[in-house]
Amino acid sequence: MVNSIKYSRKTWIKIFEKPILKSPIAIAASQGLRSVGRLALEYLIEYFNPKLIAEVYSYYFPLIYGSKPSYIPDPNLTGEAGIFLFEKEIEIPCIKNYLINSHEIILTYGYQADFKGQYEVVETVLEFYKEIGIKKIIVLAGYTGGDENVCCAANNPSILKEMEKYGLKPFYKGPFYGFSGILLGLSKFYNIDGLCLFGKTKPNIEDPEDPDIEASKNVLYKLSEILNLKIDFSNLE
Amino acid sequence: MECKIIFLKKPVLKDPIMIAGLPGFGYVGKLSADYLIEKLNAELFGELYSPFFPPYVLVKENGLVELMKNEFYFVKNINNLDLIIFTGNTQAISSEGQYDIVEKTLDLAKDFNVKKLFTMAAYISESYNEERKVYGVASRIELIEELKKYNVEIMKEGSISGINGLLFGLAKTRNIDSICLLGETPSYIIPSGRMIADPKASKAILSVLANILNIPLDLRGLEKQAQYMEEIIRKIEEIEKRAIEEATKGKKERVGYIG
Repeated sequence: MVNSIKYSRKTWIKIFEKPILKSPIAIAASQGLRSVGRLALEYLIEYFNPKLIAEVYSYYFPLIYGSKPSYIPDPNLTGEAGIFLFEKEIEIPCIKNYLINSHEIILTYGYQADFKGQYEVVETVLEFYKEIGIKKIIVLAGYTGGDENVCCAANNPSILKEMEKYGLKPFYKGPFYGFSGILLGLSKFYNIDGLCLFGKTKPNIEDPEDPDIEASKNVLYKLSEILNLKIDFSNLE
Repeated sequence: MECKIIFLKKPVLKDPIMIAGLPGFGYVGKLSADYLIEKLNAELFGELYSPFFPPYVLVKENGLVELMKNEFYFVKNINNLDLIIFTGNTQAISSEGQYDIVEKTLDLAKDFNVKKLFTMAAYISESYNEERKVYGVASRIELIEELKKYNVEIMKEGSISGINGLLFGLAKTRNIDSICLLGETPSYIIPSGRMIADPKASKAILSVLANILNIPLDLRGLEKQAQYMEEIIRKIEEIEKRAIEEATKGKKERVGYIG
């Protein structure tokens, strides 16, 4: 471990490797609507087999959420802490940051904090981005109520203009909840360009995070086109 | 992240009066502040961000993302008065967050040498009048006497929750005179639990405020909004009535079938 920085008494980051990169970008997603962003990020992690370089831990990460869905927290229901048990290891809820060295891409696999902690954990991630020189983030998520397979939002107009050449327009209007929304919102304070790709999905009232694989695929195709990633999608199909 | 104010510009103002209206019951305070901003062509000069705001952002129609925030606007020289208007798209949810924001707002007020502050809020009433009454409270007895001249009913007891109440209350600790004007409202809540704005209450407050400050203010826009809201409420009441009738009808039919 390179170091362990505490940004506050209740949220801290463990940095295993601080890479020296020329112009890195970050791709981030978390639990969310129909798990569109989370699934897409999981595919990228599986495909590129990136190196885990940092983890963010927080008192504000419940294991069991006080309200459903996890990304719309209730201020009065903070949930319950705990750990995940796997066959050979114990895992504490955290945000994981991976490095795809060949592409200078950081993959941030988010975790939803409770109502009180979301700003603090996002700031911890953004502090880390600043330390390693991230200038652009792409957030992956789902949206409902539109016709476009993928639409976009951004933290400045020039990015929206740039996205036009990929046929992307801002069709979604409304709230964007949780880790990914706040990450995109706060990124401007860190001089980071922020883009969000929203994949079209349908709401599932009984299980809002029920995975929509088709929507995740559409987001991945578009992401691959924008970053020229040349991903082989045959496994995904 | 700590609560912070980002200044887009630093206007030079002469002993400005601060007027605050944050979202609350019937959106009375916010609607009033927004209307003032529009009618007086107020200019945005500061944005307040807080980790105590609800954890989501708004994606606007143009595709740009906006954090939840409170805003400070200014107006210069309207009938020899300079104003600072404080509003926002949200309120902090917790008591801790509301104290934090109010203290930061009062810091700003002191920096600009604000000596008098108005907050605008809702007075929930079941027996409301078509022409909404305006209730008021003030930090000094002389100000209360002053309010009586403007047909303001003095609120003798009760509570004022949220920023609109706390800002009024804590202003005194910074030697700032404060007045809270409360517009009577039934605080309509539709079946989904969402509140409906009450422009009539805002109109009543702004009419009093404009008189106190002796500034010209055309309130016809709020009258139009009030007519529009009445139409919406009428439609909602019709839908609710039909739904109740359907439910009752279904119940009767089911009972008949069982028998």
